[in-house]
Amino acid sequence: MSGDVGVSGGLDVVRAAPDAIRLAGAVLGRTATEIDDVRATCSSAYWALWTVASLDPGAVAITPAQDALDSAVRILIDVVADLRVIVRRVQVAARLYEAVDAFGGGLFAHLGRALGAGWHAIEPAWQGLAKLPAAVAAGAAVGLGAGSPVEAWDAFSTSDPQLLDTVLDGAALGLLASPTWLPLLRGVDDLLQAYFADGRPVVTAAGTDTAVPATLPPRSLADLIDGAEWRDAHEEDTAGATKGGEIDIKFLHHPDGTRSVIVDIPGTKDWSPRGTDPDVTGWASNLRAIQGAPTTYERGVLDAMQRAGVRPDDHVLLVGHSLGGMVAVETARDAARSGRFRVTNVVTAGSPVGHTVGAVPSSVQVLALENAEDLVPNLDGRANPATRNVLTVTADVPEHDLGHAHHLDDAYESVAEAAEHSGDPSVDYYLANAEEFLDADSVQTQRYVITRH
Amino acid sequence: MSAPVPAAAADEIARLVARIGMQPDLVRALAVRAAAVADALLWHSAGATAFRDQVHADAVRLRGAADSLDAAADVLRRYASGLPR
Repeated sequence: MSGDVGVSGGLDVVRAAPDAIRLAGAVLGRTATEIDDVRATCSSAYWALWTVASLDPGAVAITPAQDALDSAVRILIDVVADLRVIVRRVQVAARLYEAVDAFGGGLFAHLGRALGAGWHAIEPAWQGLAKLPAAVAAGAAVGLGAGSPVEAWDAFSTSDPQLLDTVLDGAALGLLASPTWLPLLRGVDDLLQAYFADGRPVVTAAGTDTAVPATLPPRSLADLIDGAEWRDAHEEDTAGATKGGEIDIKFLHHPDGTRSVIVDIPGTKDWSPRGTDPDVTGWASNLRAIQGAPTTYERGVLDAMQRAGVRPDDHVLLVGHSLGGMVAVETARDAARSGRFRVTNVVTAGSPVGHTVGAVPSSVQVLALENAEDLVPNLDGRANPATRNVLTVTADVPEHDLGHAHHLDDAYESVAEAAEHSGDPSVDYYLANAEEFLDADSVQTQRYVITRH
Repeated sequence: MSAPVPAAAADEIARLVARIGMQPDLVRALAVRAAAVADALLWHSAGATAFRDQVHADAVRLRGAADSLDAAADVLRRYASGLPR
């Protein structure tokens, strides 16, 4: 990459030259050292004055000089410490800029090849979006001290993902308060939504899943995540033309003859840059769901529930991972509004639902599981509201990279187990409330594929 | 009435005045350098603004330290001028 202009965030909001930033850090580092030399000189003068004063009991006249020296030395100590922190931060910022530049540049080139002539229509928007992390990096430059740019970016994104919430909320640096920033984001978003069109759902029955994991009724929170992971990992075998879009509808049968329903909603499978994509788990759904807008995916879930014979009085638990969690929250909200289905519980895993989950009615209990090292739940830039019916459980499951920190089997089964064994009364209350989904005698799993037309 | 200050102490005061008296200009020069580095840097972002604000705040503090050092040197000069030679 060029060292002259490393990163520019949309509409020239962010411009940076990593090499120049690194050089400035070096100069400030030398400045701090020279200030520290002054401090050392002044400190020794201060103690020499004490010696002189001890020889002249009447030398009260030099007391103001001692006080002034003491004040100066304290200031110099503080400034040296402060400058050294600044130096460390700008050095990390330079590494992050380089990492983000490489990251954004790679995606840029990939999309350019994939879209061909159509690329020019969204190029300005993409440039803004792809460099968005640069602004985050700039605002949240932290003293990570990582080695390579890639390590710096990975360390940044996995060591403290909540920084995204902080920075995007503007709490730290007022990023979103910037008058130029909000129109930029809205403009980018509008362009992308126009390009990645939503459509209407087509629901196809894919039969009953008779594999052993699909026939075992769940007994724990971790089993619920395991069930979602089963569908997530095996849908490619049956989905045909699309990578994603297959959901489970599980009928749980109880000894007293009653039944409950679990719907597993997998996350994103397709990052194709196609503007019209039959896969409902791609860009079009992500861009809309993160803001709470209705999606074809959500409408498909509701249609599939109807096709499967879910009744309006059946108690329903929606389990969603990532995008699937966002869709689950919106499905619960819209089912309650319409009275079409009775969703009583939602479990999300690694889903950015901060903007949307507050709209779920109080009759729906939501449990949001978040891995502290997973960046994805923070992509909406807003923490989940803490209300009586919205419970967020965050556990730290260390993973060496961002991808694994987001996986159901690598990370979120552990988060579920940690939540279940936490002894927290709110978690216990949630699980007691969801007991009917965890004590069934048998389960029948039906698969449906949702595509966009 | 205080005891007479030994000549050695008077010499030490003179050395201290010279040593301390050199520091304020040096500190001010370092403050100017730090602020200039921050201002001249090609870096525009919210993070860059915070960076410049921090460096400028430190430059202001350095000027305050320089003023204190000036005051200390001035007190010592006046004290030294009253000492017997």
